[in-house]
Amino acid sequence: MRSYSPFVVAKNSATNKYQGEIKMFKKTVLLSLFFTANCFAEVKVLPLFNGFFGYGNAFYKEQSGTPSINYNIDYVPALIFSDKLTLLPRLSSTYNGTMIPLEIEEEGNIYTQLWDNLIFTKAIHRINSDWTLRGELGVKKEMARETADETWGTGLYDYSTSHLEASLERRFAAAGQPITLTFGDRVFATTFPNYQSLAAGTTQYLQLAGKNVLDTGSNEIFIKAEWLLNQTFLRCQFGATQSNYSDQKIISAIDGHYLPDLRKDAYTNLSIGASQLLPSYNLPSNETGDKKFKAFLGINYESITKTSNQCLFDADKIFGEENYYSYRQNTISPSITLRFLPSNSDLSLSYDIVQKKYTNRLVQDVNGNYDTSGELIYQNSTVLNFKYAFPVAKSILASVSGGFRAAKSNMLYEKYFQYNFTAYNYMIGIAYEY
Amino acid sequence: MKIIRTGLKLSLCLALCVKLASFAAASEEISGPLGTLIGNTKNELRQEVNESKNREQMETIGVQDIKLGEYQDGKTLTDIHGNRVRLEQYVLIPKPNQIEILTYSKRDTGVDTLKAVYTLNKDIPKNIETNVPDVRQVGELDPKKWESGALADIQAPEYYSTNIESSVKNDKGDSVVFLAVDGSLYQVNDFSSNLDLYKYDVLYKDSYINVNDITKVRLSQVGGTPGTTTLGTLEWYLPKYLSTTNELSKTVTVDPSKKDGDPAKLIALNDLQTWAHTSSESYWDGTKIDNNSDWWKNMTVGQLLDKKLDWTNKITFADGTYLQQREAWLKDSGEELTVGSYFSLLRNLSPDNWVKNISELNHEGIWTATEFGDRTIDVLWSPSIFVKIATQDVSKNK
Repeated sequence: MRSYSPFVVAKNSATNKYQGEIKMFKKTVLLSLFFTANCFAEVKVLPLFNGFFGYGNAFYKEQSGTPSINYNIDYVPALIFSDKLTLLPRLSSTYNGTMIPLEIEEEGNIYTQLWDNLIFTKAIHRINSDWTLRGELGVKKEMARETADETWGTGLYDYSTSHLEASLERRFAAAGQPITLTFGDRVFATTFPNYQSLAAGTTQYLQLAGKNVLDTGSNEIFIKAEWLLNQTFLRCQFGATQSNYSDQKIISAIDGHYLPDLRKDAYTNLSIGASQLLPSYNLPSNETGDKKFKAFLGINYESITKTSNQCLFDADKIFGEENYYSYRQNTISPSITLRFLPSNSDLSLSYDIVQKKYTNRLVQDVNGNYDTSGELIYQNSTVLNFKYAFPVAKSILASVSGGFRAAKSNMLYEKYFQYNFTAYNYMIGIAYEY
Repeated sequence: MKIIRTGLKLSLCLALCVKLASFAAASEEISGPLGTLIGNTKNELRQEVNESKNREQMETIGVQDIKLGEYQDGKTLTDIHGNRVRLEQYVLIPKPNQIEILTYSKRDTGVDTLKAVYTLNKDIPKNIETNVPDVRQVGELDPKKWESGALADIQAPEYYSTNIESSVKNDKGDSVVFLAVDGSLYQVNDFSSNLDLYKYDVLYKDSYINVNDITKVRLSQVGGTPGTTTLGTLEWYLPKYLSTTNELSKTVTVDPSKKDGDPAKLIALNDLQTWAHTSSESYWDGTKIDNNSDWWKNMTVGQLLDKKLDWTNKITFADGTYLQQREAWLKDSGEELTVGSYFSLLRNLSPDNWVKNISELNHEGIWTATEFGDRTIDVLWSPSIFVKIATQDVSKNK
């Protein structure tokens, strides 16, 4: 296992490119900070703190996980240099100790625990009343324990990401209402330090297969618009992401041999959302008239399209499929939040309707035989989430939350992976915000 | 991972709620565009932080897609102890006339490899549409599955292996390699039938079993006329008695055209000392199997059914070294199959489920040898690749 450094040394040329850019940016930021510190005689520090501590459990196909704690700590000592320049260093740690059974068809002690640690710095520079420039640099390390013999830091799917983002925001008025447009670019590298192909390096032939086959270097460009119309808030975002695998060769769908080209995945994501703040309503049987609630209605549509040039050759079935990992996913998410006054307690409900369609992956029957009529795999899911949060003291909120998910698919071969299942979870917790 | 995605969705929903709350607070607290975020209030700064959290979405989706693919492809499994098992299987064509089947399995002991390269008598036929070699058209390569019949009726298979290199290796340099070279087709008696039937088989001029590159067994065919029933003789070379230099001795010569047990099969005992000091032992789930004893008579039916499908064969050579192979059948969960559960499985097989049920079994082979010291080679593989070949034959028959 390789050791982890916040600025992970890249293991290949493509990720090196991104890592190199990030290192360069890091130096620039440090130098900027040095000069900035000298330029601004008085720096106002505004600390922000969010903490959550919870206890809960998850269930998968009637199979219980192990109840455990979750926590999240988020600390941001905001440095306000002037009314034009603010720096947001952020430290965050999230732990999901709830042992969640995976959808692999196994019994007993299959679980995953996650522990994320993140550090980033975001600089916000207000150029003038119309333009704002933002820059962000960060690294994240996620450790996952998915099997009994994995300890923290040795998980097969531990990963690190390093990102660099720059965006420019333009504010103006449309129809007399404020609107913002943001353009941005985000470069990020993802590495799996504990995952190498088993085949790599063992024979001359299979050296062609690659070693660090999951590592990627990615670039995302995005545009975002937000429009405030009195009590209505509209938001639209479009992004395009190119992920290049630096060490994963394309597999021939005909006979499974490796081709010289490297794997490339491309994502496009479109998100359109609207939120509406409704007038206050008095609660029924409210004699004094001081008990009322506000309602926030929201609806969001998201479309994610993934195209991949990677194929799959099923060595078990001697069968190949092109563009095996490509899919399209549509999600519609209506939601409502009720804020009860004067208690300031919130009840939130959201309902996701998700449809995922693989664009070139054939359905298999329970025996693993590929469909001969060309029927492709889809999976429909519905997800219901709720949360009730209420203040118990100044800056302290207690909460109860839960979720239910049901997934149904036409894919019936589930030896390795479950496509049809139900799952639910609950969590009680307490949050502190400063 | 869908659960994790649910968590992601939940966090996004909650982020939306936070956004709504912030929006409401902001709309009450400050007038003007929502985008005027560079002020110094906590709500505005928190909104900046929340925006950054939302921007992590594509990174998270990318990672989850990668993990999802690995699980869907069956490359990562979990055994009954909850431990990680990784499996990679490949069918390769190193040369136009070669098929290579590779299996890598990784457990807590390291990475072990099972490799078999079959060199065919001629090039693999090409797919008419794609013009690339199509292993699906080669047909059955296992001579044991070739049909038998009257000598005048049997047909020579179009494809057979002239050379075989089959090996198991660990990542510590240990290996057991089986080599068979210069094979030819012969017409041999089908001893499984009491009738005077014949079938085609492949006899190799030389075969070897090598342990860490030391030849432990050599089998040479002498004489014989390919394509006929004249098989020649087979000479066995084994480690010489008390040898310290890995020297082999021609130990015994047999007639392959004679059935096992036929006194005429033994042509010559060339090295009596080596022969006398070479022994083999077999164990079934820990019980020594001895043809000359009634080891099975004291076993109840219940004990018999509880016996695991777990065999160990050990050969001790005359030079004092040994080679041992243990084979076991396991379910995906890592549980070893017993006789009872295997019978139950067989009883429940039907034409529409036998592929699935059989393919859920995994085969584990564990090799130990003097040359390995305390190390072992432990290979786990799925039989489904062989099931596939069988189903193709079934479909051909249909």
